[in-house]
Amino acid sequence: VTARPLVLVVEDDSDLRELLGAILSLMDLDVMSAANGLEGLSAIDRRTPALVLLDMRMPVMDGWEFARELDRRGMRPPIVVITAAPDPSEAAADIGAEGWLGKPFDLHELSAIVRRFIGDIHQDAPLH
Amino acid sequence: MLEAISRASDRMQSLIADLMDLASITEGRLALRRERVDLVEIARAAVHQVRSAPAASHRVAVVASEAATVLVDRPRVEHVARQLVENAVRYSPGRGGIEVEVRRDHRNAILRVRDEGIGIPAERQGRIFEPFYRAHAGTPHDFGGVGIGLYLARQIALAHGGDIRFESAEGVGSTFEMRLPIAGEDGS
Repeated sequence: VTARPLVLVVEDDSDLRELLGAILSLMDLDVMSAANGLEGLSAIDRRTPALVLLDMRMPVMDGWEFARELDRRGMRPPIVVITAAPDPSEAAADIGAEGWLGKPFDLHELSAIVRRFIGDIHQDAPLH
Repeated sequence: MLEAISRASDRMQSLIADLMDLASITEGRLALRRERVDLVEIARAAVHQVRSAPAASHRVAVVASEAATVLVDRPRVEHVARQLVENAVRYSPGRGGIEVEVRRDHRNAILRVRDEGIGIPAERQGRIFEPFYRAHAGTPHDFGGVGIGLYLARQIALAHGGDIRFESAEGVGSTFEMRLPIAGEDGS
């Protein structure tokens, strides 16, 4: 059985985390979710994701510290920053992230950026 | 759904509408990657994951179970099992244990999650599998969430030729069952 590509969602807003999890799952991706950077690190300890969707402002451990810790560990899956900041590209550049999504975003923007890093997900997947 | 949209504010309206579209497209045709697996293994994995979460609940246990081989998309069925166990934990705040067991009848493997939590009010039980329906919205037991978990869980069970059923009594607890066809000896 071929495993699905795994996406890690690190987002402290539980509603958005649940929505993203459901959408990515319906896109035929495997999803791990974490409510902050620290939970994100322990998720990565279990399995290495093909992509990380990372909120920046979170309690306990924010996106900046999470990215620094990944760098320190020398393991760095592609990261897409999700942020409500006026200039999302700046937050992405801050941590050397590979991409960004400005909140609010829609399915087309989400699927476009996921496709950029994961490629053709599944020929039957209803990815717009 | 309107309730979820107003609650989630405009930042997520578009995503909620998108999720509805996506859910209607995939209804009945979720892609599955099947393998043979004992449902007990899946139950244990789901319980392990819930217990290792930061808000761990050590009141959750897999009780004596029967081996039951199913031909399923393991990550997806694990997701369903985890969802059922997480719901049981969420709606049993500080009360009672949560038992997970696997049984089989002549046709189905059954993963059962039993809690002694707050239960679901009778008048709301008919709608709990609707997307964005939240049975406890606006009550003291509103623990958040957008209300997509059980909908998606049931879609996954249905895609496997199974289903999810439940019994619940307010103030007494709930029992949820995921039923999946037992795999044939020939791998079917």
